[in-house]
Amino acid sequence: MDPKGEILVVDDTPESLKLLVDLLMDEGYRVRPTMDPKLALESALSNPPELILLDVRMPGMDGFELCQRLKQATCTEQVPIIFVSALQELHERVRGFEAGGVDFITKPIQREEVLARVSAQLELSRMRQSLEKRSQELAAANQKLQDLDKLKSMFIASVSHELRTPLNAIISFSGILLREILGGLNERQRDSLERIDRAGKHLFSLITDVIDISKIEAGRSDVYPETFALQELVDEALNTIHPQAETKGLTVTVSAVTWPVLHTDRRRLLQCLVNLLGNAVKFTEKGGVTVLVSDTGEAVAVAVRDTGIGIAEGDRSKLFKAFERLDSHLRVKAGGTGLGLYLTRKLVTDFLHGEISVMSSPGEGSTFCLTVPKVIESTTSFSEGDLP
Amino acid sequence: MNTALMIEDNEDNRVSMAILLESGGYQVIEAETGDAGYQKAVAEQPDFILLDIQLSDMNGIEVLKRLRADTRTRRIPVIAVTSYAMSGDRQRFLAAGCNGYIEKPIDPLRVISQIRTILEKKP
Repeated sequence: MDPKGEILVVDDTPESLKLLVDLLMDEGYRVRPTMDPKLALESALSNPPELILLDVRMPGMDGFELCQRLKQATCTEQVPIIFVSALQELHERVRGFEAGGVDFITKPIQREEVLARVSAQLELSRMRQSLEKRSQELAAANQKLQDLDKLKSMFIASVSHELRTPLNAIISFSGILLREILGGLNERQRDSLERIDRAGKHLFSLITDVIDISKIEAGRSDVYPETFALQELVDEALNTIHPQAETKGLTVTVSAVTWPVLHTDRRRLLQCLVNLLGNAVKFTEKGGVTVLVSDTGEAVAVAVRDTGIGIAEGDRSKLFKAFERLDSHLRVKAGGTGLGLYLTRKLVTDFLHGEISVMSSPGEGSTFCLTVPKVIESTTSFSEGDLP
Repeated sequence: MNTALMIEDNEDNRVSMAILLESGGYQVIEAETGDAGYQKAVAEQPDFILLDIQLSDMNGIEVLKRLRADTRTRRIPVIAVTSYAMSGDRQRFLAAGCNGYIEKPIDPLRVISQIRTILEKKP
């Protein structure tokens, strides 16, 4: 950009025009003088200047009208216009600002004032342009990052998907051997196979979590509502924790006044409940786990309460973040991915359009509560074939 | 209900499923592709079909549609074998007329009873 800038000066009086032009040229500005407002309009449109000094009173088209026309054209709408006028009336100045002018210079002109106002407006205009450019660059960079992030998530989803095929074989064959279909096992063989089986299933659930999270983060949170009885779903979720609860001597109770029928994504809701119940059993050594169901009309709240170790207040905000485990000694014990609650919250908000909250007193236990609408709409279909 | 046709392109899955089906008293016919599966269904008239939803030559849905469109195979029960967490596929299969689905990884302890439950539902 020209360091001093080019200024279009429009004034129908030769003396005032000369005065302005000389003054600006002395200061090093490039100046395009015009006495005719129509020619000025053409000149500005064909080659937009950096700034326009515009007389108000002119024959044919006055300064306000010329200003409005320039503000309507895309190429000149951003060019700052300073009115030069003998008009002192406030309402005339207001008209000038309404027409799109940015400043006024009063005739008879004062050299210092003209130069100060011109350079101030030029500087403002340049700063605005550079800000605009910067914000466009930022928007483009941001878009690119979002696209890359989606790509990354889709990549992870499809790689993880491929990982499941060999894992299916490991789980199936260890299960077949454990069932002794192909012959009897001695104690140590059984123990070894059980370890393979457990590790395989653990790996499988980790991969499934990663696939779910990647799909959600890639913006593919499609919902498949089914109609089902909540009671059956809760029973199914409880079945997953019964063996472990029994081993630890924990009670498992359910409390509900009524059991609603839901039309929502059954699998996702089941997944959330299984995660919450799994956590409750994992972090409870004495007492038990209670599921409380309350029907609020439009929505249903399912709370999972335990009498476990609880969560300190400062840790509660970390709970729903990815890869957060609150304490290293828990990490050893928990053995999860650190994705469970992060995924659960994502599932609740993105698939089930509900929310999740937590209450807890350290040493006394925690309650996680899901509140989800009873009925949700389906979204566009997504199948395995859509994976890249 | 003694003969099962298994349409599955992954060899590991075919071997493991065949072991389980045979242990449950079924005779097993295997097909590696959708097209071969359809031909065997017509020729062998199995008592039911286990259909993997992801085949290399054609989508499981297409195989199901062909089976359902042909009078010779229309009445053979079809059980879809789906991947975990792909709810959309299961719904499309049920809508296209399969009798039920079982999920991978198959649970060796439960798979035979799962199959029997599905087959009993629609005689």
